[in-house]
Amino acid sequence: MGERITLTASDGFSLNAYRAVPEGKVRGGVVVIQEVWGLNHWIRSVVDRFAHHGYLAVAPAMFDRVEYGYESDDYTPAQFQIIGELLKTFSHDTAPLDIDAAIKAASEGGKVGITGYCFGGRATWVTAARGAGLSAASGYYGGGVPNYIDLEPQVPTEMHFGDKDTGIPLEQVEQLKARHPKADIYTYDGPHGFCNSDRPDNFNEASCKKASLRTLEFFHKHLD
Amino acid sequence: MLVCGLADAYADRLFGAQDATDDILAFRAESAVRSTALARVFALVRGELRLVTEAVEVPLSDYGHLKVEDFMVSLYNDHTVQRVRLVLADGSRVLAHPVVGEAIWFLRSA
Repeated sequence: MGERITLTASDGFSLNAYRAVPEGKVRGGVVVIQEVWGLNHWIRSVVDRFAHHGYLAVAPAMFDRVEYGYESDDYTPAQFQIIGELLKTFSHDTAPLDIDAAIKAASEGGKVGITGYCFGGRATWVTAARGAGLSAASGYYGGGVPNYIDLEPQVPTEMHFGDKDTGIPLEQVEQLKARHPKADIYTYDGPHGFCNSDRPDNFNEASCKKASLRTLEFFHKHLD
Repeated sequence: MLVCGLADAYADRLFGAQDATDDILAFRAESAVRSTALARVFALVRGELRLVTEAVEVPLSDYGHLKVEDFMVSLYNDHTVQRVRLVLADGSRVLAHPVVGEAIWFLRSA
């Protein structure tokens, strides 16, 4: 459904992205931030899904400044060292520029929401604290989000976590919830990555459907 | 600590099941000589050593051996993972789980 494009960040860097445009009426724009596996099959399917629901969706390739074109559908430990090396040199200073480029592209659809998974979930939370011209943020199992507990969302924000996420213990989610009563923070039956349908060991269809429906309703409320 | 306490108590049960000596302290001391790991468990239970939970850096070369949850935690915490370690008398630290595992293995083989 979508197509591969390139975006140009404000510092002139050209990065890959994946964009999908609805066939009918456009209800708004959505930026989709990847997991650590780049613009792989599953993230592209998420972009397509948002387009199916009427949103002009754009996913920027967040690792292009570190390894241009990196993406993988291999979720095994064979990729762990590669990803570890990518994140060791990944810059949190330039990441906002890439996200902003995607927000600008998505704004062709109207008001923009941001969503993301794991690495992308954290980026969602951090970007919501910047505001960045967004109208809503809905992040999934943001890895390391508890480390950013003091950031204050500047836009309506909801976050989704699995109650069996061994990387993000429930007590940290509860701390996040207590610290940010205005944000809607939900937990679901499932492990980390419960919404990735390309990872059958992690995927919890019922939980993913429930969370995804909440995201759509949230974006409908704040973007349409 | 609970596991260490149980291991410590199990050593006493082993004493009760043998008849080579009727001196429990000598039995425990000899067991400690035969197993450094068990000696450390005994010392921990006595309060002479302590357990700490600390962030430990993971070398990139070890990433392929990490469990998924450790992989994720390390990515978002400056390439460190939380590990339970035993602080030895000289202040050095060793991973606690292998020590406990080795102590239990010794007790089960005794």
